[in-house]
Amino acid sequence: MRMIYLAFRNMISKPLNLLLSMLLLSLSISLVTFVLQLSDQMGGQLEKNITPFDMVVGAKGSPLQLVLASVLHIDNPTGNIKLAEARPLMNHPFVEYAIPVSYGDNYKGYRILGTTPEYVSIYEGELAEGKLFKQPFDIVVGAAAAEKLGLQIGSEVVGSHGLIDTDFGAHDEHPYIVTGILKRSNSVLDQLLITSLESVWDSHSHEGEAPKSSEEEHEHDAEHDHAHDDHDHDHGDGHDHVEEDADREITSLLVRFGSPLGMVQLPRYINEGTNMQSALPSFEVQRLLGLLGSGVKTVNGIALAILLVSALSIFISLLKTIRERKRELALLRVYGFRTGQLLYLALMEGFFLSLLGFAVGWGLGRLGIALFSSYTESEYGYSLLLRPPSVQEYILLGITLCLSIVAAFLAALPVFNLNVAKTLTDE
Amino acid sequence: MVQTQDLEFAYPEGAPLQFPDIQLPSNEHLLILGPSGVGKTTLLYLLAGLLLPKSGQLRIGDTSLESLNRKQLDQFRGKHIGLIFQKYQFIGALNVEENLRLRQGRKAGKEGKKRRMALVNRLGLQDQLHKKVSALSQGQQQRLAIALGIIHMPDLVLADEPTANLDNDNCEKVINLLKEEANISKSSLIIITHDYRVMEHFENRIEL
Repeated sequence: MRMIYLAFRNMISKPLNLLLSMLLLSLSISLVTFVLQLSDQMGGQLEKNITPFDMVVGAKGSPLQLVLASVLHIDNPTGNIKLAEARPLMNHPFVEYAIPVSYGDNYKGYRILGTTPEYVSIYEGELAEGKLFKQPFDIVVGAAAAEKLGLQIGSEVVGSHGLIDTDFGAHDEHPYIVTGILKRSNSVLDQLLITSLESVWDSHSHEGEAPKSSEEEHEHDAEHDHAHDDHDHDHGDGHDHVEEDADREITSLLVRFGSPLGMVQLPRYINEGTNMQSALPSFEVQRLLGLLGSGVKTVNGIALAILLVSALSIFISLLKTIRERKRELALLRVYGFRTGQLLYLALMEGFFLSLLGFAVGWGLGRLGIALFSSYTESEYGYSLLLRPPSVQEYILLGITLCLSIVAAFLAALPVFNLNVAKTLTDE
Repeated sequence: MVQTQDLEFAYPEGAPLQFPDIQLPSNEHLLILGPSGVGKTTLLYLLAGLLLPKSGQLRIGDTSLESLNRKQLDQFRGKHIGLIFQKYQFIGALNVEENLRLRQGRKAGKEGKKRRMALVNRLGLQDQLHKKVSALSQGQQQRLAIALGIIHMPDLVLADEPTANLDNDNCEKVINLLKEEANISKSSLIIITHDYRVMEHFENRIEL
């Protein structure tokens, strides 16, 4: 029989003791892995979602709110800006691309975003089926939203005012028709219903009237299309309009600089020279993660303290079992096992104990992520993934095993001085 | 098989103990009798290599124990000596069969299983194999202790007060069992006891 088997049997021979010595370890491991996963995934998702844009231009207010609302789609927008005022920025030489977004409606809590098709391609969104929006009131649905809402190609969607699901204020007259469903991209796209800017404008400005025919729009656009040839070319879409900019409002403009000079000049120019404000997503998210980070550090510190205490508890519990099993250890010596093998037995028991404690703690941490994910998904539209162990978690496993083996070694030191004859004779 | 000469042992705070010389040929049985406190168990541990003599010689088979280092002594004891304790000693986390397999060590394979099954059948433990040791009755524990002392077919079986606390019937049964099993596994048997009831069962006797 292998010593390893005996170590395992010894460990499980007293389930209550086992539970007690595992408890602290599992607790600290679940805390650390939960927090690591949470901050990793949150940070990762935020970073991913802001990457395409260097600057957001919107109504004056809190820059963090602007970023949260327009880029991450969590908060409410700060207000609207005039398209006419934003227009010059879209053709600014320092700007690589600038995408207007507009919203104000939701469908059962999922935001309806009016924008250009470019928005989808910038997030590397791909269609799972159907096509992108072409006609007014065509709408494309993100993977998660489609799944949750049970939308398919051809489904009719009626938006309600505001960003929160309410029973009143639906635009009965203008249902959107789902023309495409996006593949899961693990970005903001998953949670959005995306349509053209015109659809959003129409659903608000022509409330109660029949939507303007698209022909009419084309006529209007004709002159402007010439003026903004480049822009329209980028979008490859005859509907990108410019209509009467003066009447049109958008929520914000998402900007990518084509030149580093843009970063230097434009934010200042916008904040000081216009009625709009600019916010830098990377800066705002860093600030947010900084706040989050200090929370993470605190929890990790607490978890580390618990981990040390749990190593101590493993030490005490092993010390206790080794004392209780002194006669059995003496018996093993009679059976011809060497002192080294007894030490190995104790180390193995400590090893199994910490491995099991780690596994249970890791499982609990992931369970926590799953539970927390269902909360954040319903509350913020962000879901967390159940990922395989990360590098950090392997390092944590290494630390845990080392700690427990040291604890087991210290607890097992008495086997070196085991007086077999005396132990077996003593009552 | 067993030869001792001028064997002497001293506990740190005690007077030295001197033991009479022992000459025991292979496959024979020996009874060592003596009242409590004359060092019977000490002698048993010396024979088992669990204590080292202060002086004198001790040979078991072709091996002289004082020539072995600690590690060799452990190995020698594991392989060639079987001990049956007055106070039974088992591994509590393992069941009956696993206790026996642990004692068999490397010899627990196919042949070992035959040996094990034959032994537990003779001792009437065949239905207890998968029970925890603590679930056995007193009598079953005693028989398991005997099985553990002999299952690995040692050259020498040492039994410490095997009949203490037994009534006359059971005393005789246990002695017969020990002698039978020692004969089957071709082991020499040394029983150490203060129980004069077992005298008549042994031709070779030493009184301490």
